[in-house]
Amino acid sequence: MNVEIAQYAAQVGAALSDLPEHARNDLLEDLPAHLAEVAAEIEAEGGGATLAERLGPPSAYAAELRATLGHPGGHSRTPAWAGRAVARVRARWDALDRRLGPVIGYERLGEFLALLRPAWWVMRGWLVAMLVAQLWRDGDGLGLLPRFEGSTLLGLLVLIAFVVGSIWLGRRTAAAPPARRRIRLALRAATAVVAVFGLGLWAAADDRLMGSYWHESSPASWVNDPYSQVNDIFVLGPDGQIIQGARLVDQDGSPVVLGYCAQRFGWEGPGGGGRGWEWRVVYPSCPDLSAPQLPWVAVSPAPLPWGTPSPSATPSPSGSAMPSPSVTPSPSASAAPTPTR
Amino acid sequence: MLSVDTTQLLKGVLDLAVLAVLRDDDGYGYDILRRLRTAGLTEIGDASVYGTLRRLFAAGYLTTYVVPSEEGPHRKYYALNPAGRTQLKQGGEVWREFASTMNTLLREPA
Repeated sequence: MNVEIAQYAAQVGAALSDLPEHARNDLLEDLPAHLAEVAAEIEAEGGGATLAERLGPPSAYAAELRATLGHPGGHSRTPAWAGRAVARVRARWDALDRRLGPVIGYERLGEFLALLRPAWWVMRGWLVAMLVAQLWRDGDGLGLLPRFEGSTLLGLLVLIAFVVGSIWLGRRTAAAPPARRRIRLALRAATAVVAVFGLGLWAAADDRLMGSYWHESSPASWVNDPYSQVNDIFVLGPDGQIIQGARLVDQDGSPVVLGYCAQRFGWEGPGGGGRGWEWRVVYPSCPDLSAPQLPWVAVSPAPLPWGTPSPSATPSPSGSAMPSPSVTPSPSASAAPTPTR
Repeated sequence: MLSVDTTQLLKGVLDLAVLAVLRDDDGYGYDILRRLRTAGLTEIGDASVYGTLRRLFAAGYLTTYVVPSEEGPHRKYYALNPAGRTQLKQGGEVWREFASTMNTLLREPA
């Protein structure tokens, strides 16, 4: 009976959560004691009935309590328009509550959601354990179990501790919501943080299970790219000169897009990418990046025999131009680059 | 549509009704509810009485004391204090005047 009283009082309190704190406390302070009196009277009259059967559902009880406010000496501090807005939202939720409940075989949807509470407590414990583990190791990697210093056992112990703690807290706040508004607000804010983290965790897990983590076109693949540090490519000829307008091709004759600037060309280059944009990428591809300081690179490269390819040229990997052997590299460059330090 | 039911009428005079049943005898919550119902306010709900008692107490019209009970929980008794008696007297006057006005208005032509 005591549990029933505590639950009933808690549900009445929850339905009045929008009232100013002191008005709410005035109403709720004595409620469990009063309900105990009522329960004793019910018992004396023959008993058998639950509180809800005798007094109506907690929400109705709360509505009746609310109606006793607002007379002379009443406490309501909320402006009338806010009260009306809250009442409208309340009425809409109430209608939805009653309409959706029967769909899943309950009188009210809220009735079913209340049954899910313990499941939420368990999940909340797990999420908090995951959050702590994540903060602990600076967000590197993410599993489905919390791990501390790589130890699964320690992680399991922490997980159990948090789940048990969350259940304890859940039972406690369900029986008697914290009287202090600040504590209630803090709990709510913490719940919001945990919920947001949970959504993020879920999205990350989903992403990874779908395999898109390694998908070629996903930006994430660049992150795991060993060449992710590469901004630009400078192709040097045998003469040690930087070859301007060079193209890179792999064993299949497909263009190789390497480096940040070349990749960027794909989504914001002239022509904004489009079909075959890879062929329009030439190296060096960063317009404003100066050539690396190499002691053996000559200051002024000699013009190449086939000229500078324009980026808009038709893709022709098998380009007809062949370097003519008669070209003489600039005399200052030695054929075999030997960096001397 | 004109809708007048006792619940609506009661809203305005619940304070007065509760003060009235406490005039001669102190009472605890459920006891007060029973008195009101016995007196004819059968539609009155427990929450209305409880809420009204809390509010009248907060407004300074009632005093309370707890009576231990051998079986079951302790009972919280409510009693009128002087402010409550004044309120009951003034409220009673207002009500009688109002009721007589309404009676005159509603009198069927003979």
